[in-house]
Amino acid sequence: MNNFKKHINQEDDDKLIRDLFEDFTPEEAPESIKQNAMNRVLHDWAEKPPAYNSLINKNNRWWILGGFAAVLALTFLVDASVISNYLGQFKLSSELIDFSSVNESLGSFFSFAGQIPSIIYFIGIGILILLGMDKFFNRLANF
Amino acid sequence: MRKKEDIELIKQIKGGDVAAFSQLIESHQNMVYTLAKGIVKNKQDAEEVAQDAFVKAYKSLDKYKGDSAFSTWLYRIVYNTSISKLRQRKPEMKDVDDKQTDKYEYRIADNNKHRLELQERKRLLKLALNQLKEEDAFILTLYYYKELNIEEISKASGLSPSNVKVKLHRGRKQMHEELNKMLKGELNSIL
Repeated sequence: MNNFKKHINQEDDDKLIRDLFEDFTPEEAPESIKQNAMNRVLHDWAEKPPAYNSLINKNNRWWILGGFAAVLALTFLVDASVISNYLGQFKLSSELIDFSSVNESLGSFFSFAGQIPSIIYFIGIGILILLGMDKFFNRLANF
Repeated sequence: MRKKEDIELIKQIKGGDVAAFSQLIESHQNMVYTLAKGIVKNKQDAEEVAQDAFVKAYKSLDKYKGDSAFSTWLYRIVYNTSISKLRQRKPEMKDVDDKQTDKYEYRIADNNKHRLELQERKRLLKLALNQLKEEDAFILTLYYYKELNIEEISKASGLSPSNVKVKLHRGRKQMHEELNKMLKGELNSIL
């Protein structure tokens, strides 16, 4: 009997409070809340440097660079004369363009560049291509 | 409807449109302020809590995965921020509306034979909520006004569902007592 009475009382309370809440409206928040919160949010946003989510994270980047360099090194070990013979077929006619003055002015540069092992060039180009691709995909991902 | 709008705004904010956050504040600030005030029982603190809650929400927006409504997620921040505020505060701070309770008692005593008018009912509820324990006011508001279920209130407060039920029951009981006290035992005939 006591339990029943208690249950009835609970239901009454519930009904009464529900009834009261029908007229309830949240209090009007002071305008300063929005202003101050937005000031703080914008301040926080302005302080943060623009961040891109890199598709290639730092750990992976070194593995990829190493792998790419290894592939380039293997490629270099392939007989280079095949490539040079193929390029030789496209010899430009010296009658049409005079290369002598260009050769003279750049002669010293070419003789210096010729002393550097080719693998350095391959690795350099490989790294640049990889960084370029990373940058490109970064932009694409954060567009 | 509100949920969809919130999700759309969140997408914009995550995409770099920070100004869209002001629209989120606009649509939730009244409820956030009301809930905060229900817990801290003080206008100035409620204002600070609401501001802090919005800034925290912005900073941790990436953590919001959309498992629950944005409002439920936001109320959790409001609840935690309010509780932290209470812990920082010295115990002498008391409800700003305390003095109004006595005045209200006298006014009601004069015309307690008539049903209360809308504005009076609103005011009465506000005063009664202010008398409740911090968490109880928060839970009652979400349950009766926002019509959240126990599970959702549990998410919004971080309390277990059984704990929410206990506090809801206790809140109801205390609210009935407070209303009765304010209306000098005429509660059932007036409301």
